[in-house]
Amino acid sequence: MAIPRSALPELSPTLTAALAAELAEGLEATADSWIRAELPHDWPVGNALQDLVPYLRRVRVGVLSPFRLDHVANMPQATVSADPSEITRWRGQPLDERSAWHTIVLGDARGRLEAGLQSVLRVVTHVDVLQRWDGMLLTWLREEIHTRTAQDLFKQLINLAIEGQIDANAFDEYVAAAAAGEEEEYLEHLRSLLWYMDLFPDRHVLDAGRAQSRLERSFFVKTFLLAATDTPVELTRLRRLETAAEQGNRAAWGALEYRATHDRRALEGVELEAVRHIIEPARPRSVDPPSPRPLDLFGFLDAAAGVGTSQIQPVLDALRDEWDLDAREEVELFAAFGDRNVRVLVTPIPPEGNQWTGTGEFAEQSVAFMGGSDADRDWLRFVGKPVSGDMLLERARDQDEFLSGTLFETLATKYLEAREVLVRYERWLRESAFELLLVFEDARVAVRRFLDTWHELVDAASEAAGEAEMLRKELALLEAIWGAPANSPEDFAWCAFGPLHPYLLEPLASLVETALVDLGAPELGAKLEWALERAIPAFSVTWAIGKTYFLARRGDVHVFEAVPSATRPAVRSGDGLYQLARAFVGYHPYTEQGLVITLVDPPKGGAVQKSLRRIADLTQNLRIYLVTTRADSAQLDEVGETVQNLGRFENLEEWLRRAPVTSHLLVYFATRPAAAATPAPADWGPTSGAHIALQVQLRSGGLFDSGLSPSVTFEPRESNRAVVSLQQLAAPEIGTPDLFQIHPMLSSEASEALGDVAESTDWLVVAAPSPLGLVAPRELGSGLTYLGRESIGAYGLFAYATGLFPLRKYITEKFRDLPLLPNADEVEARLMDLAIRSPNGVLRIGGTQGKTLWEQVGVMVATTMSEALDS
Amino acid sequence: MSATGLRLLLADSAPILFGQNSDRPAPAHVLNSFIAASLGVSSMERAIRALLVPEAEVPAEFAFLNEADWARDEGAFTRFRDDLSAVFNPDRRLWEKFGSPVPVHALLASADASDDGYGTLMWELVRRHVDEAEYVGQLRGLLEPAEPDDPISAVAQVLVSGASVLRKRERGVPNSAWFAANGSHCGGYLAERLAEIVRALSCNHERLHRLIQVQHLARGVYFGAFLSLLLGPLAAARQDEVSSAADIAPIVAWGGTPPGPPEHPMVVASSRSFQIVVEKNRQALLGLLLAKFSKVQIASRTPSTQWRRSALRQALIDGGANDARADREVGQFEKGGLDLGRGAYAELTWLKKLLDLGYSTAALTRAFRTTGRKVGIVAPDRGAGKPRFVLETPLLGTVVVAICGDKTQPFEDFVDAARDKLALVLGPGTLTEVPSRDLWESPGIARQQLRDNQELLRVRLVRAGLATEYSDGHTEVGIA
Repeated sequence: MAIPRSALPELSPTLTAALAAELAEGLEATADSWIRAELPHDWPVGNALQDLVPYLRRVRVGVLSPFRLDHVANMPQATVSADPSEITRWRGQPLDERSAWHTIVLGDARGRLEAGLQSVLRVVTHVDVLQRWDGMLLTWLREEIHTRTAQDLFKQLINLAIEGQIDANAFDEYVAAAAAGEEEEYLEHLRSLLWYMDLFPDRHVLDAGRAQSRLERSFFVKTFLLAATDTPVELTRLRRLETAAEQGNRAAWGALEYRATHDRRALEGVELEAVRHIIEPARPRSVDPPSPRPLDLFGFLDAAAGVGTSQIQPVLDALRDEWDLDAREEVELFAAFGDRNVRVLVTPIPPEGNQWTGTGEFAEQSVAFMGGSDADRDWLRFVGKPVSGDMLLERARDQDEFLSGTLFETLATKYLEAREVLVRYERWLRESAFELLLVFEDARVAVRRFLDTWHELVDAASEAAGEAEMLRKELALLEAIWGAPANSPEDFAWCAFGPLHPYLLEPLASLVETALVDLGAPELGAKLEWALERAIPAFSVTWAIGKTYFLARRGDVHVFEAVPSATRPAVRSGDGLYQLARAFVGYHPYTEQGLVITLVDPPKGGAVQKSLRRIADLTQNLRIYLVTTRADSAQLDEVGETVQNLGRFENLEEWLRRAPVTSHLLVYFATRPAAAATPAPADWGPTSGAHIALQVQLRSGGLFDSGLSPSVTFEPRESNRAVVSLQQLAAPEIGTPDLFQIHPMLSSEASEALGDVAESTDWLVVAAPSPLGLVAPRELGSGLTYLGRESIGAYGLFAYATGLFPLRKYITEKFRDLPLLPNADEVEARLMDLAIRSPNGVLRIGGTQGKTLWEQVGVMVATTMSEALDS
Repeated sequence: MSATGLRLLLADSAPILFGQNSDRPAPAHVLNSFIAASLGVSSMERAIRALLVPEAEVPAEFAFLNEADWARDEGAFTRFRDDLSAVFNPDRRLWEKFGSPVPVHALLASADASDDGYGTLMWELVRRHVDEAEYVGQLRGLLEPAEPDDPISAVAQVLVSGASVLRKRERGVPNSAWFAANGSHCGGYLAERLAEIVRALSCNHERLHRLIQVQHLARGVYFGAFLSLLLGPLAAARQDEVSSAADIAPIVAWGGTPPGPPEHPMVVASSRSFQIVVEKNRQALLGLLLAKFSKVQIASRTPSTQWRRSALRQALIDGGANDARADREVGQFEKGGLDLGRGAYAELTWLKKLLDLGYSTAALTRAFRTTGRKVGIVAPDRGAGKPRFVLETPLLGTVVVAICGDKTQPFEDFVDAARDKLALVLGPGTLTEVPSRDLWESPGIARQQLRDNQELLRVRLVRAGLATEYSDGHTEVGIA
């Protein structure tokens, strides 16, 4: 039974008509003519029933929550009940009795005594009704209006109504109001009356194929108006609207009125484009929803590639203006960059820790601290005696008295005065020094001035050499904390640099100055992250009191020890781990369902965690096993329940013996071997350049060692002024300066253990501090084949596979449609060759899901051909 | 920002307000101060702090530790103190002279100001609406375990052995405050509900591990402070009676996993709810300021050019500032650009400018987002999307314990209780009328979406082990 066509409205179909039609269809489709309608209670269901009832014989209407009896008033022909028990009794009647009625139960049947009405063969929902209405509207448009222009818009609006983003009743009013005028006015009405549905009138909404994007823009502006605003981008937009409204702009006034009242009538005549032009005057075409994630500082510098300084500097200025230098807690700085927010988190030191510049008074300044060898090596918590600015000045005066002059008092005074200026910046220098220097010009000037005065003082003492003995040793101790055994208070076992040490500030100031010159350069942020991780501290060795100290720990605090030990740099940037996992998943598609990674001694710094979060998007189930053998490993707490901590073990062998697990990928983060001091040649002098120079040599391992092994010597370059100055200061005691030398090879124990590990993983990845710390061997254990390398922070990630079968299979699959029959051994040999010749050629094939396969095959073929030609 | 001055101005009606550093207080800070105010500061707070800072001298109170054989090994002793520090000072913000350890025992509480006064004020609120002696006994039962059954409690017991209560941190609250004797009826209603919640979380439930209960209490007190910040001024400004906390201002929260898809209508509604309630909060503060300045008396001979300055100074003094402090705060307002020249002082435009110096809409939005995020009622991070009300799973657990205690109740009743006690609108519950319909495009849609939201919440509760689903579709909420 269908409602006769003549019953449909002559003008546009209404929601009521769609309801009636859908209910009628439901009754017809069920054998016992029993349906339940689970619909919004504010829809015109009563009207629909009134339209429908005359066409039906014997109608019963059950009324359940959220409907009420008054929703179905004025239906004398129907039997109506709001009593769930009675309606349930209707349902329990014999079939012939029940079928004699058309029964429509309105409501969701979730109340008490309604459980028996919940399950029925046909439930009419709002989606059914809206889809029917959609069909009716489109038919009507075709037949009555003779236009296809509006069809796309109606489809989109129906979808929005289904999702609950617009009110179907309002849509009903809109359809009726649009059809109320003359036919030639109809399309204009469709554009201008969108405010009926709390949307902005939009003259482009009927443009071919643009209905969806226009409605999305309308929703974006509406969401902006109705949600809380606390970020610079949004506050700027709001301010623009307020300014325009104050100047009498009708659109701005309407938009703000709508924000305040939520009354749709405020939007009448408020054209979408007009509002967009107000809130985004400079870039009117980019009001599409912005990426929700704000940019961090380095992300911003990357995103600003190709943008003029005139657009970048205001962002830095805005960050500066948000920064309260007196704050005691971390501060989130926000600035707007086009449609994106830039968010920078800056952190001060707590007020309770040791202070270096104090109040600025010379007597209150601490230029160094001395304590026991077992004291905390973090200067913030270090407990020891401070060396005050007054004491330094006193020593300078004594020195001057000895030399009969005033040079050192003058220089020490200038140094302490320059230090005094840093009082307001000191608390930010530990964790947010780069950000501080980048946005505060005053801070840059103050730091440069401070470094200059330090150099003047230290270089003057170096030049005076033997004559400045009283002061020279003291100067080497400046800006650091020093730990010595109680019985030998000047025999320092270690030192840790304070936030003002030139080893930290000098490279930092240089990087900031370079960054400011290069604003807008491509990948500036990534380059800076890379450089910051490597350039600080300025050198891995320092000298004082006749001893050489080797860098033992990097991070918030840089610790140097007299007895060198293995170190593990923190990692703050890089996505090599993610790229490796991506390659693995590419070659092993089944791991999209589940991927297991074991991490051994991951370093701190945050980049590993970032990569793991990205890896989680590659697979449905990610499991991370964490094995630690050192106290300075990251615990990966931030990654959450994905990580299972297997515990702390003495070494890899113990873990393999006690709690081995199998995994797809095992990543072993090695330490940088302990360094050694090597005397510089007699005629040594710093080479030109900015930072350090490397020298790679083959050396004998000793009297009983066979063969030669590589060693790398690091030399400070000429522009590395802080290092050269300290070196010259120490020269009278240590003669030719000691340079920093390492033997960058995995220990034989680690190599053996890793060979054993290979049995419980598909790919083994050796993360070696690089490029200057460790060289991974081409062969590792038996049966491990080198695949290539990626990098994360200062670590090179060297990947080895226990078998090449999955890779070979993956590649030969791609050849299946070609008239070739690849030889398995040959393919594997070529893959191994490619891995050696191209750092990540093999990995990229997997990582790009084969998109670079032919490119890499081309490389292999070309290499083979060139070798053939050579021979 | 001159929040300190505004706090003084509004202290007599709404004392729980954001301070100068709204980002600072964390749940552990607030619980520490709540305990210090209710049970007292530990007599050994300094010694315990010193012990937990490995570099500091071992305090005399713990000299006995040095007498153990193993303690002669200096390395072993240092490791022991490092381990203690890792347990009781996990965020490394404890210093020899400042900070508070994690208050897993009442006698670890210290006098620390990091909570911006929220903990002390929450105690003032709670104690006015519970039987104080009974409640203190109950709190002691939770925080002073006679026989600790976990290693952390046992170590805490050792640390505090010999300690006693040194003093209580007290804070005077005027009787006109919304939660005090002469506060509004609406304020009294809200305060009772919040006190009920805190009291429920202070019980020692057999089914829950004590340390988990301490965590719930920390979140509960902090959440109570958040609701006091958000709804307190509204309650103070209302004169009518309410029968549900949601009548003050409904907090429509997304019931699915936070933060939720931004375009989902329910997420949009929770975002609008956030905006509306923050805006109402500001309006209420403005109303309270107007009421305050309407009552300020200044000398009749005061020249008209000095009216505003004098009224502001007098209002600050009425709020508890001494002359010097009042002058300082007036100076701060002036520095912030407030016009103190000729003009009326009980005048809305001027008062709006005054309010903007500490509690502008943007500043309040930011403060509520930051504070709410710490307890899991607001998400996402600033800059990562529109702020909205959500219920992170740990807070969900706290709300369940706060409402159900160690019993269970039908899911729909739980939804009703969350609405009536905490203003949290998570679904229709047993209501036939839809609350907060103006957040949706239509009441019909609102009902459907709230019901869907309620279902999302139900599924989360079941998955989190906070509810049990039966074969007939019935769901019981509770930890039992």
